[in-house]
Amino acid sequence: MRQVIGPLFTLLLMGTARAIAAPAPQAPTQDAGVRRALDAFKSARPAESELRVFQLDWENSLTAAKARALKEDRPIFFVSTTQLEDAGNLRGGHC
Amino acid sequence: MHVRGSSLSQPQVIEALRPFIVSFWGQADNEPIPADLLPFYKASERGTSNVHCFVLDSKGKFLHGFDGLPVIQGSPLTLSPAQLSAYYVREIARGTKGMSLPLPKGEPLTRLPDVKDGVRLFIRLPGRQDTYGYPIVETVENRDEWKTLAFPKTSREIDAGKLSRWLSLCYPPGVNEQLHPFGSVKGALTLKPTGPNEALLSGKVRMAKSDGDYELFEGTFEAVITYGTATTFRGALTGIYWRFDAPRNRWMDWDMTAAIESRPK
Repeated sequence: MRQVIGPLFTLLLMGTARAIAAPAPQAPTQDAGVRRALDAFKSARPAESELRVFQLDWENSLTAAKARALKEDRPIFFVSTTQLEDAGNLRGGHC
Repeated sequence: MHVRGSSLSQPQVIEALRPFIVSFWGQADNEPIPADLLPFYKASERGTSNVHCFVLDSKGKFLHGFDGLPVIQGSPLTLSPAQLSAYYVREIARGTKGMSLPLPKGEPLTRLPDVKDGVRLFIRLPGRQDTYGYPIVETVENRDEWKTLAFPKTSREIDAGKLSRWLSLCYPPGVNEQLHPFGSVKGALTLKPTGPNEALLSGKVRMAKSDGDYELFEGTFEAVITYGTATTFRGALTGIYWRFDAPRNRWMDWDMTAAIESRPK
């Protein structure tokens, strides 16, 4: 009997050891700093509804606008600003 | 008042401008008005603001011009964005009276400025509900930024100045005292590995117009970088921009944020 129990006990022990060595797979824990940075990015990036000005069909110069207008038979809307130290960029927003 | 936020970002104006190609010119350092724009100024009614709008036909012929920020009761600030939008829609219709405008096809698409290899920045003042609250979008082609941010085997320090081509662009719109990017970017950032192909960049950033000037921005920069066939970057600069309120002789604290994302991925 003792000879039978011995190997069984060993098998049981091996199973337990295997269970400890190989835990059920889990999703990797995200670094708290990584989580915070991604949250800050999501919060800072504007929603689509805040970027409507980019629904306008922009060209960066009158020359380029004229070339396309002629080709596509479309009118041009042109905005001109004066009295500035720097030309600015009405499309991008630094103006 | 900021014309981009007050009128050009408003849904009614965007709808009215759908048949159009939209373009702009901005004068710098009192340079002369370009010869091809002068006839439009001469043909327009004399406005009181520094913003002029011109409606041209498909051959570039002048049809109509109007003041982009009309002064009512002595101030352009009298008009709300809704009133200004209605004024723009009215003036655009005046300019195209009798014309058969091409019908826009489908829903309007948002076409953001983009780069082949670099970053896109979204800068804004989240506390502002007025026309200054509209986001700015800038792009920067990569020069050596990806090299600066190469995967760290162990934690290392990076001078914020090495990312100044990105960070210096993080200033608000419509601030007459600052019409150029920051000239001084300071701070010590830490780049540490957080996984076999991932790193976290974090630290404080301070910026001024030049090295000798007082600082106008202080904030925190945090970003996650992943490394593979291409580097991807998702980050945010969050802090305070200080603007001097001359009439009240005091400094104002403006919350300012910038989201920075790598392109094309």
